[in-house]
Amino acid sequence: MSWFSFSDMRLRRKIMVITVISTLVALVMVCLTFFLYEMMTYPEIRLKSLATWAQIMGDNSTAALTFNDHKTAQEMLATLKANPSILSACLYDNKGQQFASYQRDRAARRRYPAVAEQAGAESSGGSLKIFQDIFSGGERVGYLFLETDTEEMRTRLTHYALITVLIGLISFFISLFVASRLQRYVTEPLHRVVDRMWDIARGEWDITKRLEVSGRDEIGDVAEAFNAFMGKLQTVKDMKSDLISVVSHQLKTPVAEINGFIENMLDGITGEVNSRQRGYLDQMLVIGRGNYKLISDLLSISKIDRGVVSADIHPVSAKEVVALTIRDYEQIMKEKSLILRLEGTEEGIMLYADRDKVVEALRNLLNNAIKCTDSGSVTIRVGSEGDQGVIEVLDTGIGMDEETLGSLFTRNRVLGQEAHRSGAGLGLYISKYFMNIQKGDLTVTSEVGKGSCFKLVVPKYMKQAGTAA
Amino acid sequence: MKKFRRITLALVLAIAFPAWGQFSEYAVKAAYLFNFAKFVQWPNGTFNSAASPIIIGVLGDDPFGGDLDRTVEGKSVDGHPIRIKRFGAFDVTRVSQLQKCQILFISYSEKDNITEILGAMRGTDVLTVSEIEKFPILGGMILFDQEGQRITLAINPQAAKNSRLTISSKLLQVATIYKSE
Ligand SMILES: Nc1ncnc2c1ncn2[C@@H]1O[C@H](COP(=O)(O)OP(=O)(O)O)[C@@H](O)[C@H]1O
Ligand SMILES: [Mg+2]
Repeated sequence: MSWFSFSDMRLRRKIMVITVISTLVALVMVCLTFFLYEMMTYPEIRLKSLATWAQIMGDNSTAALTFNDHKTAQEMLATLKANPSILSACLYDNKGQQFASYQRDRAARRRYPAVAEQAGAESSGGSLKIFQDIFSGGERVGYLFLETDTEEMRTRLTHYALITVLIGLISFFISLFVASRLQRYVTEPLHRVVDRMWDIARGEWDITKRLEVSGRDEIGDVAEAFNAFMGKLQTVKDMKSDLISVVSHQLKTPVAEINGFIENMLDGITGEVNSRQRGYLDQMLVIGRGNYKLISDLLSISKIDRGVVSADIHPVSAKEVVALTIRDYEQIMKEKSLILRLEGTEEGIMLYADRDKVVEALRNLLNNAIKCTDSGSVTIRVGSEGDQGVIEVLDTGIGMDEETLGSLFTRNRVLGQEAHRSGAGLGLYISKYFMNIQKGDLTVTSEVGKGSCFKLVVPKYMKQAGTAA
Repeated sequence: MKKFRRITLALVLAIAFPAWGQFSEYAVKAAYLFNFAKFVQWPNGTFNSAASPIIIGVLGDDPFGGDLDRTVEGKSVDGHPIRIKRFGAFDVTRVSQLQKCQILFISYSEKDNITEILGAMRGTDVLTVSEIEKFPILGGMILFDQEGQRITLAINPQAAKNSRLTISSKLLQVATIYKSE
């Protein structure tokens, strides 16, 4: 039964089934009406036609009857051949004696009835008989008898049935064709809407996307309702961003201050620090810096969400950028006994970029590299490719597998096994975003156990006619 | 629903008297003479009024006996009653009387005067009928002929047309057609 479930049918099918069925029902009704009309009027038409024939025949035979000319009468009756539905005919003189006769099928040898006193018609079993007086100059000169068979009736009905079936078939195919054309006007916009919905559902939480409202019909309504829903979602998300933005803004300064105080204490400003105290303070500083990083990432994300991030682009030397990047990390690297190598910083490559954002991205890359490397080195290599400046951060750390790489730059990344080394997992998303808004990019190559290479690209500064500074 | 009622008597009579049935040759001819009126149309102005009689003249010896009178008794064609006029032998002085008939039956007794009679009737709107041989060839209109037992008709439609008479095609259908010589 399930194969015939109307509710499970695709909309396309449903529309076609409905169209075809209603067309056929209408057609059947029309045919039935004609058929009934025919059934009702046909006997009368037939009788009239037969009466006309009788009239003509009778009128033509007056002279033959009057002047007793059998041969002419016979010849005249023979002209009835022109109407194949007339089965037999008989002409009687005014005394009721057979005068001339006609048989459509000679072999049938139909009997002619005796003359009736009154003219009239009789219908029995589909055959129609008529008796008619023949008058000439006001005097009755004879009678005429005519009989038709059921054949004509039957052929008419068969023709009707054939025509009905034929028209039925034709209109079935036409309506099928038309329906298959017209259903697209319903299903195609619907498919578009559904496809777009799935796009949005599978997408990167970009809820600024909206469906185009294609018409004022129900499908347009669906799109509109969906857009309204997305609008609601947007407000909720905006509220979340606003909340994060406010909270992190309020937290950022105090955390930075606490970190500063800890650094001051470690620097001995508050007096001698014994080794136990130093241990605790170091630990506090690590946590504090982590918090600071997390808070500024969240702030960046909420800025990105609200679309208020813009690049402030100026010429800046690659060397300066690298110097700003490594400033706070030399200490940590020394503690982890990692070697920091700088390459190409003296080549004087000038970038045309937002300095702070490039530095933030690079610091994140360096931070990650240090985090994920237990021994070996971290290299920062400056170079150029065409009119693009390239800064690569290479490490000899744990590397990443395909799965991690695949979702590395997304913000809803599921944290991998190296979760213990991780922060909130937002850094690379923010870094890449910062690069993208200044015609740059961030890409990665990595091999598990061997290390990773992050490649940051931004436009070079071209001083007049494309000469690199 | 049985609408027909048999006239058994009519049938019995029809079987009992084949061919002319119980009627004599001149009874049939008398009936024919009367029936011509139904199949012939005279020119406009022939009848003074709708009730003016159709006059059937008999020239020469009357072979009908009383049959002709019996046949037309009380009958009319298109409202015109039928009158019979007997003229006796052809008499040139009475030609204008003959010309007042609508149908003129020329008896066999006038065989020798036939050319003269037809000459006198030419161009008048009188339907001439006779049993004299070659009648239509001589310029007469309808001849009573015989084919075995059956009385047949021979017609010269051109002669009728010359006299402005219209003979129904139905009548022509049952007759042999002749032309004047
Ligand atoms: N150089 C690297 N070597 C190995 N894994 C890395 C490296 N850089 C980043 N990763 C992986 O990518 C994750 C995402 O880094 P990131 O987006 O900066 O977020 P976070 O540093 O806050 O965890 C890290 O947690 C780490 O698992
Ligand atoms: Mg990071």
